Amino acid sequence: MSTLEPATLSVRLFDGVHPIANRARLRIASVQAELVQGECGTSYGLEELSVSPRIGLAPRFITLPEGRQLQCADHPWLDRLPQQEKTERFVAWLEQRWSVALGAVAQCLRTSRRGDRGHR
Amino acid sequence: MSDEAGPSGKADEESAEQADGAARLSFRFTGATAEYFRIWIVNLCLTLFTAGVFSAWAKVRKKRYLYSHTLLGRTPFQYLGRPLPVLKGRMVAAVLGVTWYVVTNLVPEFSWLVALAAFGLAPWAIARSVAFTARYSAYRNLTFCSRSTYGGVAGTLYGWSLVTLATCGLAYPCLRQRLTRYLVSHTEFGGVPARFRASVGQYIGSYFVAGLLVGGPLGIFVVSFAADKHAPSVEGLQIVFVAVYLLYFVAFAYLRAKITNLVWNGTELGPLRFVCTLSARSLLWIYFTNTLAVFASAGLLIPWATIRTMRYRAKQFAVHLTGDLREFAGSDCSTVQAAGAEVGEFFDLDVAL
Repeated sequence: MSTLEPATLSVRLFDGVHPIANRARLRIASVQAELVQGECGTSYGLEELSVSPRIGLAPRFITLPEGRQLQCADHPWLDRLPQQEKTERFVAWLEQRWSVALGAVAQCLRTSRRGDRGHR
Repeated sequence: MSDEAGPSGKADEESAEQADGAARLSFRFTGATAEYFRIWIVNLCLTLFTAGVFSAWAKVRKKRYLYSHTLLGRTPFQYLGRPLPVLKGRMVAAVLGVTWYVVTNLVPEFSWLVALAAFGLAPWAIARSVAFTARYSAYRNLTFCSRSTYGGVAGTLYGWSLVTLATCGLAYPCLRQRLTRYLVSHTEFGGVPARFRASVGQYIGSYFVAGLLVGGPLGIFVVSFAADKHAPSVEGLQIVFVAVYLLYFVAFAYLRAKITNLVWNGTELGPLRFVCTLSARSLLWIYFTNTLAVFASAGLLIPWATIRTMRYRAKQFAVHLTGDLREFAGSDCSTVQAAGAEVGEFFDLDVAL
């Protein structure tokens, strides 16, 4: 796996108590992430974070150990963090490719034609 | 610290418009047909490859896409359902479905037992289905929560079903209103229960117009056939048959638009008021063209139909914030198993809130 440069993500923070968004930044480096809100910063080990599955170009959510949540745009760093649904990584990879989608169309049409012939 | 909610927690200043002293938050659906098509077809193919087992993952991924592209203000909704509980729920539903099939086809003399079980199961399926959807729908890190119980749903459903039977179906709008009122008023967000204000009279009005849409032309057909001394021709009956279907389609779109508007415009959630302005004519056009497109494309345009329907619905929907978002605070709802939701779906038991 290639190494990634430390990055700063612009995030919206939800505390899980009130449905109110606060702007913050998340600095991610090789072993730690730091959530910066104004002058205050809180550090987390990368293994403490958990990221929602990728689904198209939708925003993703990072859950912090104390239950707070961050909303941010997709970023390569997010794939390096612990995933909430490990099984969906491969499916998300397939869904991003037109070649796979066209192959799936061909396969579905073939299956349905075979089904039609079976009925006759 | 940059607080988007402002010191009073009123609303995201960048996404709210002021209207009559209340902040108006618009719904937006940002999904794209091409992107959703890839998700839909890949998941359909994987479901076929795995003899249906993957359908639980497919359901979750599609729901996640639709939720995460539905934005209120600038924040998307989140679908938190996970594939494995959905799969377990589907297995329970499949066992019940097979039991129903076997009993009704192989030992029909015991069909009444299945009917009795389904009768007893219906309130459970409705309550659990609503609870599951609520629990796994989140907005800004707070989940919704349903406190509907078997007893509560059973009382409303059985009581008003008896009244509906006794009135030859005339009390059906009352049944729908009471059931929706029960389910909505037992739903919470951030510890705040919703209130439901749509009246029985409004429901009766909508169902009456829908009844006229189908019954009026049908009555004219029947009277004209009765007045004709000759026996109706096969072609004539075919025309009536097609016309009845078209009328049903019109009534369906009309009711869907009117009841959805009634439910949302009659619902309040703490400082939130909902405004839903679906037009029966637009919805009819969308459903009609969707049906044609899906048939003509052998189903391949289902994602296009889904996205355009979602886009229309989001465009006609808004929320007025009349107070402080800090009224909502955490929720203690426990995890709800998926079986109820899956059983409801398998047996086409949609309470259509």
